[in-house]
Amino acid sequence: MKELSDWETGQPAPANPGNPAGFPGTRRIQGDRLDAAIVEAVRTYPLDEAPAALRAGVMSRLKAGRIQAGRLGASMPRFRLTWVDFALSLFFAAMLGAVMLVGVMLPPPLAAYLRLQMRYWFQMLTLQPVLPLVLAAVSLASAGAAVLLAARLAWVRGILHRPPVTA
Amino acid sequence: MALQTDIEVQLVQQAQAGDVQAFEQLVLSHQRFVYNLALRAVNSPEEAQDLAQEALVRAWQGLPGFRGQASFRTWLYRITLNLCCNRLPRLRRELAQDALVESDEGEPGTAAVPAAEPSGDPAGDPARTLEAGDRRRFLHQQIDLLPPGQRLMVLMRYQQEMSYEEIAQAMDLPLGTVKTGLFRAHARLRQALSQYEEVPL
Repeated sequence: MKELSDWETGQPAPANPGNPAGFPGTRRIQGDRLDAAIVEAVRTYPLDEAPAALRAGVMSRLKAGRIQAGRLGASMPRFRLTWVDFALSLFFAAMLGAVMLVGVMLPPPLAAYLRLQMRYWFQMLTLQPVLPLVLAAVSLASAGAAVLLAARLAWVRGILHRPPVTA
Repeated sequence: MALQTDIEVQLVQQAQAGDVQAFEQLVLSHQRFVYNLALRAVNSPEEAQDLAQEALVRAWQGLPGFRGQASFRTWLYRITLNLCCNRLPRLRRELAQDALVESDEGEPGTAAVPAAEPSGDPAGDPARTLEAGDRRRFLHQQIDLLPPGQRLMVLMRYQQEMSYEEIAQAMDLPLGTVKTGLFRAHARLRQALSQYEEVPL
């Protein structure tokens, strides 16, 4: 806590209109002296000291080089990979690998049977009339995802960022 | 203690050019008030430290965009209070409402809060020195009892000597709200002090 400073003004005390005779039993200041006492009290209101770790924490974050001025804008959300992302990636990669492996290792009669079965399902679903539409939708979705991914990468690399907070 | 303005402007320019040491000087100069702003806003030392650190880091990040339209400290305090308001979404509304909390005195005039006047030198009189110390402690207690928004305003006004406009920018409040808040804070303190002075010793 800051030490209370003493009265700052070196002016002689004006006459006290509320207690002109200097009556000793009561506190009496009025008018401008009330205002002056308030302003003086606010100026000497003790502030807490900043924690020692504050400056050190700020400077270590800056000096670690993780933050460059003007990059990674102030209100930019943090992009961080967590264990869930890695676990999901591993799962989908394993599934894809398993499908490819199974496809290669299937016995020829079974593979032929599955191809026939799939052709049958395809005819049953009668997707052929809407196939161009489905392909177009998939292409558009892929293009959109590519644009979003590129924007995301540009954002993370600081090519795109929001304007910093200014007063 | 705030740095001199011209020195501060120079340090800001150096920091904008990437000078970390210059920014460290700015941190040293402002960290205490930034921390106290956050502390008064969120009432938790740990959160205040976290917010103050984040505010100073964001100031560094935002320095290239700082055009000097406001003073550096106004800009920094605004970042700090914005972060506090993000952490406590109700805070912004409370700050504005706090400014309008009524005192029992009248409404503000144009010259809302009087400037400091000489308050007398009690140094030569031990009894008056004691009395002045008691009065100051009483007023510090009353400042603690002010609504947080009004307390922030009076601290910025009298400890940092910021103008009404600067306080309005830092707190993101209308100028009239700041004037009203400061007037009412002063009126509350004046009323409390008047009652205190009435009490027989």
